[in-house]
Amino acid sequence: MRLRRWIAGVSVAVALHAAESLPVPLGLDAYVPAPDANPLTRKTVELGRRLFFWPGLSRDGTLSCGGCHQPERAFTDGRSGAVGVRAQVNARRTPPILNRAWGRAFFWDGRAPTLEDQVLQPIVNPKEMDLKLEEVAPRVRAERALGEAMRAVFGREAETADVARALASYVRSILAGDSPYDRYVAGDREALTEPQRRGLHLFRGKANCVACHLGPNLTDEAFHNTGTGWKDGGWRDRGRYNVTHDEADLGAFKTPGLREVARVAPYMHDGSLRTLDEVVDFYDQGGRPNPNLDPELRKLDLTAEDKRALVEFLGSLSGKVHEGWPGSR
Amino acid sequence: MFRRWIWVCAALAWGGEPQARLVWDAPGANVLGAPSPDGDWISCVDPATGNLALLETATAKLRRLTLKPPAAAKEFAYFSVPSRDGRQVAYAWFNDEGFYDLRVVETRAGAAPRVLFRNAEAGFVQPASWTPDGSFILTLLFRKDNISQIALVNAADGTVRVLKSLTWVYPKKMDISPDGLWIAYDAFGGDRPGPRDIFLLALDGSRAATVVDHPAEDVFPVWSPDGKEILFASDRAGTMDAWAVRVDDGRPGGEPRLVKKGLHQFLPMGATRAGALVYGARTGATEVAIASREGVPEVLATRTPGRNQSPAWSRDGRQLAYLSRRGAENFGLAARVIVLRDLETGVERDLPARLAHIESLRWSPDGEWLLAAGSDGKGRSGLFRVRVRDGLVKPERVVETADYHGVPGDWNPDGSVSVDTGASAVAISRTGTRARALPDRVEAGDRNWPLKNTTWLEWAGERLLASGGGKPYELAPAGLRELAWKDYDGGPFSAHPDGKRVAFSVGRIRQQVWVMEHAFASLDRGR
Ligand code: HEC
Ligand code: HEC
Repeated sequence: MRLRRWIAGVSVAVALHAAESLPVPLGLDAYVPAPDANPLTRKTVELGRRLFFWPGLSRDGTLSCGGCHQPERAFTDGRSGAVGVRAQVNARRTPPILNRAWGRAFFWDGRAPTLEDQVLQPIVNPKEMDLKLEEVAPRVRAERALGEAMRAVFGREAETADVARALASYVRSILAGDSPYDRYVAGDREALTEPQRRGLHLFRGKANCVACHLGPNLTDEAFHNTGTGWKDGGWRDRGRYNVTHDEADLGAFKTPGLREVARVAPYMHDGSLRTLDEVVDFYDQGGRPNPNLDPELRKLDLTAEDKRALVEFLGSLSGKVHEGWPGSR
Repeated sequence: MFRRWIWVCAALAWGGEPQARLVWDAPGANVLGAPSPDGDWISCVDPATGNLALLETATAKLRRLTLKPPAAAKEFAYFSVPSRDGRQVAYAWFNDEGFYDLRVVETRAGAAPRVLFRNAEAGFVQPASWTPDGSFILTLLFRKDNISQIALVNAADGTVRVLKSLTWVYPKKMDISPDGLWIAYDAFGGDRPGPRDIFLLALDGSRAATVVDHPAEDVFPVWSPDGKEILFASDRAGTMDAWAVRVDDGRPGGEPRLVKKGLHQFLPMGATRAGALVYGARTGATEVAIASREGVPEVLATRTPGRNQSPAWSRDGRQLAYLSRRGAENFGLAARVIVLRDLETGVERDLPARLAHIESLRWSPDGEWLLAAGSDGKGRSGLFRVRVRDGLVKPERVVETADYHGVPGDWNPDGSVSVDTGASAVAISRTGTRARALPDRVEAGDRNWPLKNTTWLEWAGERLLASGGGKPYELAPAGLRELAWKDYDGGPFSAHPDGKRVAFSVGRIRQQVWVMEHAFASLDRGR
């Protein structure tokens, strides 16, 4: 309500400005970043939405992006390893794709520098949707209504790059905010319960979570080794190292945002922690010892009450998830 | 230093370039405000009382806009900016709860201030610019989770719209274009702190652009009154100079041009409608000096004279650590390095410690660590250990409620650290006697002294020394005694282990306000 009034106010002040911008929920920046070559518009977002839920982008026509990134589960699938076509199980978990417009590198290891680059990769990954890159555009053209819609938006026969643009635009429109935490930060002292306030205090203080989970999206968008990639004396997943080949990145993964976190179990890149209680226990022990543990992690000596408070606080990060361009459907 | 300024003025007059006029040079002069559109006054903080005030540019007379009651002794005004019709001033006010809220007061006599925005979660606010229609105040918010945000505060009801979140390294200046469409601000380009560039952000959040992208430090953007150019400070030519870049619908219109060289430590504060630039300047120097307890201080000849302070003696008396400011940094934090000086040979080396701000240093009993009060690269404040060997930084105590100055603390004789967030200063003697400063007194053991505004305590053997209200004292059993330290700057000091000598910093850094008439008009002439 407040937000709506706000947007109205600002648009009066700057009525000269023609561009329509995507409304954001409380707690997020009004400026939603998008590359100059792919400005965020109602049309590209709508088109991307159709592509996102279209199973035709998978080899056997059974799996859409939305089959793994399910809107009702905050764009995850509840599994510890994503399941692609022909029931193939992946080593990594489907991450919640919320507020990714502010991302700086994509995938758990950050191997995709832009969303335009990222969105094509699940399509061509044999263990996910399993198409060939050169099959993408012809498939879209062949689906008449979709092909026409592509032409209407981009002014030419569907190209792979246009599919990427549209999908990336839709992903940018997936926004999570307006949670009790956001209302608290905006100044509503009553928005958090007493245990949640205690949890927030720990999150910023003794538990040192803000060293990595900070800002509107509760992530530094950087890579850290918490020990999740190390098992039984060896690397199970080298994470960021696979991209940079820099020893300092061994076992480092991208800090995920924590919005809607109570709804996206299991946790970590491999879904190895089943509940938020397990996550908090994991940090209480200082992560998992390994040759490259992040210096910010250490034993926390949290009491049982501290741990409960932290989990309560994490629950306050659930609010509203918006997707698509409002008023389009 | 001052002579240099006169020289600059003279050079300007001869060269036919825009002339600069010094308008405020009194003790406590500050650069926290901005000019009225007609240039008749500049908003500022009254140095005597901490109230918001207007400085009349023609006479340098101050008129207070707020009148804080005696009960509000600790409250004060900070950053401020006048509205575009000159009828109101938006300002930050350090409030009774210990954080800053955003207030607005009309400039007519007797007007009552109103609190527009007050939120402990965003406890530092810096109003930067008004929209042309006066309906929004562009404000920088600094949040408890150590990020900064560019926000618009509704001037009618105080509601906030955050446009963009940045890291803890906040823009040094933001300004709204005269047509009300764009915000210009400085920030560092990459993910890590480094040289800044100048960026644009559409007021409605729809677009963003880069207008100055250069390896040098580019800071403090100010729009020209016709909205065609952005003036900024840059060290691309080796010194901090004024540059301007043409801007066309959010895009740079060509390479930036040099406007005026040799402005050194200057801070553009704002432009008047007629095209004058009001800016702040910093002059003076502080140096580290050594004196017997009452003697005349002898200034150390250092490698980088100018901005040296906060000395700390090692426990064997052989080395002195101190803070030194480097680089093109002109206003704000950053660029303080730790220098280690061997007192026998005079050889100095820099200790590369990854801290954002260091306020003071104290050497550990075993000589291996320095205890630094300040804040780190993640915006966390408190006390940090810095390893003397290699500069490695370890947080000793992070205090959520502390500002960037950190918190008081000292080493215990056993090498552990005591932190005292309830005091304004602490010191622990070699035998473990703890002294702490409270608002109205200093306590040590069962004694106490009625010293106010104590910012530093230090044991010289079994004698207790203090800095109170900027002056040095000995807190003797017989009572308080002011010490005669010539030119003492009021900052942290250190006693030699023999208890007979002290190291402190001397000199003053002063701020001044200048007006450069026709700063922007001269750009037109030069075209
Ligand atoms: C088989 C399930 C599955 C399908 C289908 C799928 N994804 Fe994913 N998605 C994943 C997994 C698993 C990852 C993480 C993989 C990794 O990090 O190596 C991921 C990562 C992502 C990310 C990166 C998020 C971040 O912050 O790093 C985005 C964005 C994304 N997917 C979008 C899409 C889009 C768009 C599609 C459809 C074209 C799609 N996904 C199809 C499972 C899937
Ligand atoms: C050193 C940086 C760092 C610190 C400190 C840190 N985290 Fe994390 N966090 C990460 C990284 C990196 C991951 C992803 C690890 C992986 O996927 O294997 C993560 C994952 C998580 C997840 C799982 C989210 C998901 O969707 O899988 C939660 C929940 C979480 N952290 C909460 C916390 C809490 C609570 C604290 C404080 C007790 C904390 N973190 C401290 C870096 C950090």
